[in-house]
Amino acid sequence: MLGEYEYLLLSAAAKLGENAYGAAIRAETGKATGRLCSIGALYTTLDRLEAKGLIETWMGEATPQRGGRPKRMVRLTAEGRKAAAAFYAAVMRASRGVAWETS
Amino acid sequence: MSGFSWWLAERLSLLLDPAERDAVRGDLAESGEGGIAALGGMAGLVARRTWWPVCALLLATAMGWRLVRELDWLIRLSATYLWMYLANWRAADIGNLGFWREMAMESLRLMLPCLLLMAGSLVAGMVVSRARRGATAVFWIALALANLANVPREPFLAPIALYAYAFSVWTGVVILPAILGLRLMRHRLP
Repeated sequence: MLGEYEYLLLSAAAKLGENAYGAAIRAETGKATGRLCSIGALYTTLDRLEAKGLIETWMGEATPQRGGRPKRMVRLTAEGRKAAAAFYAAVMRASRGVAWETS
Repeated sequence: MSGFSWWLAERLSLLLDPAERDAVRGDLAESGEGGIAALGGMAGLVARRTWWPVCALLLATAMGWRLVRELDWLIRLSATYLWMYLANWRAADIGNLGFWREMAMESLRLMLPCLLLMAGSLVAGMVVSRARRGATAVFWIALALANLANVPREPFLAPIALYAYAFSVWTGVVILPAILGLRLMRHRLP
């Protein structure tokens, strides 16, 4: 079973598709949760997901707004999609019949 | 990306792998992070990358060593009882109710530390499995070295059967629960 932060990263990477890399994933999870995660949490979680075979990462191209530094690109594997789907299904099942108040 | 905090963050990033260092610096630059936030983020990442593996290795070594020291005590105590019974055994004891009652009591007395040690090994295996791969290796090495250092002393000098007995206790009380702990935690990973 995934952790919730792992799920957030997988979801963000899936949403970003070809443009999934460290800073973009961090911004996307920040948008979803209303809070930017630390860069340390992001990178160690990416490592963990990669070690579990749920994502693949590689060094991408450098851009001027990054000071000419490369990006760590991220792509979900089939296993990653399966794990995220299983987590989502579990949350949906657990939430059935519960009426949370959201603001 | 200027100022003392940024400068410090840049210095800290030198502790990271070169490829990761560039990616992290780029991410911080792109997200327009303030100097203090960048420094905090970089310090957090460096701490996770460098200190946690060291702590995990120390923890694994300490746990492995402690477990075997406790096991050594357990093996000596139980082997002494076993040897005592074997050396003083008489055919008449078979029919002696007191003999069996005493043996049952002694067995129960050894059972509690045995169960505690098994639980300790199980937890140690679970903890080590959450650490880095290197920590798992160190854990096993510490167990093996501690065992080598401790077990081949008295009262195991005489009968070879007691070595086999010590080995079976060592395997059943420490090794198997530790493996189970490792497997249980790994099983949770998809």
